[in-house]
Amino acid sequence: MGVGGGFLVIPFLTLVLKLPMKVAIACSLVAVAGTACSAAAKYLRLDYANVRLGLLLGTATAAGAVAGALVGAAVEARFLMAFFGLVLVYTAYAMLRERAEDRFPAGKAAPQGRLSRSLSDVSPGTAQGGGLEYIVKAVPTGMAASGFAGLLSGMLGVGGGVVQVPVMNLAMGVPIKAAIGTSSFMIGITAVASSFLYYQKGYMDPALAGPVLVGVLIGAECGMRLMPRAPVGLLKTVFGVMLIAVAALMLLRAAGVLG
Amino acid sequence: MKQAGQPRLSASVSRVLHYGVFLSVIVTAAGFLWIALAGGAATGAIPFAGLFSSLASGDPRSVLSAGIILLLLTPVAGVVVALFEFARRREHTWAFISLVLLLILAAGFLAGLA
Repeated sequence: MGVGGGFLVIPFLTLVLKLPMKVAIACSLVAVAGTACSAAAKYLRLDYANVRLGLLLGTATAAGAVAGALVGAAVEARFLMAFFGLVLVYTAYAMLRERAEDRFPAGKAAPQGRLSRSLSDVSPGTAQGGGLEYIVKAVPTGMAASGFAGLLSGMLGVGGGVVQVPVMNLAMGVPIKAAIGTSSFMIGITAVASSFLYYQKGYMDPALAGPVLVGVLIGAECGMRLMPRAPVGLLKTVFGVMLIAVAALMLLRAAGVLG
Repeated sequence: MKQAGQPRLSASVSRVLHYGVFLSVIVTAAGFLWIALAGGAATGAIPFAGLFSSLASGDPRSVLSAGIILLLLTPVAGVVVALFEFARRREHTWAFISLVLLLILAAGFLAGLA
């Protein structure tokens, strides 16, 4: 369904296993890094990911992630839990709303500056066959959004793709498959940028992170193999509703209503 | 038009990410197996500074920690590969951007040591 592991892993570790929020964030970052690198390897091999764009936007997400990790390590866990719950609500909304498969406009965009032209690429595998040429635009907007995505990642242990993919597709003119592939490449970098800090602060226990990593990688592989046969629309609806329920639990726990 | 050298760059970075994840999972699994055989406790990360000495002393937890650290270094290795590829093709702008990204990642590492 294209959702990173963080939105599942963190609620499970905090609500079910009753682990501290910052330990859950650290474990989640490991899982996110693993699945993102695994997915990015596939997308790069298929030539969907725009490496230059990923590196450029990656500078913003990595800087945001380092800042987010510094904030996350400093603030009280219940604030992180409450913020996570609110981000979960947005993610559920993004999953449940009906949207076009790809908002990329037909035809070439107007000529752009040197940077935009150097980021231009051809996305393979369109419905019409052949490649879809695109020129990246609104780079400052993409950088700002990537910085925010990195901040979320560093604070909450999520990948940030829920922000990056729509921005790349809707604002920057990147076809959806290229946006997903490039986002996967960036998410691995983003997760690692903040992971070092959580590791050194002692929040990342390999005895927890290891099984989480292996489990998420196996699950992601199974998900990709089942996807062609799965009723994705129904799954997204069920998952979106489930995310709202989990968000409510996280907010209640943050407020001290739930133990 | 297609970015010059993109397929080769993508293939190189793809290989690094694929084998990096594979290696980290193998090392992590080996760490768990060793801990299970030795009958010790698995919890507690070994700090970066003490990792090599722990590995040399035969602490099985250090293998577990090494597996996680290998995973964290995998995307970094991908950026390093991109840097060298851009430098090789004399695309100085993109080599510089890759270097800036590596410096930001290094800042994140140093922030954890502070």
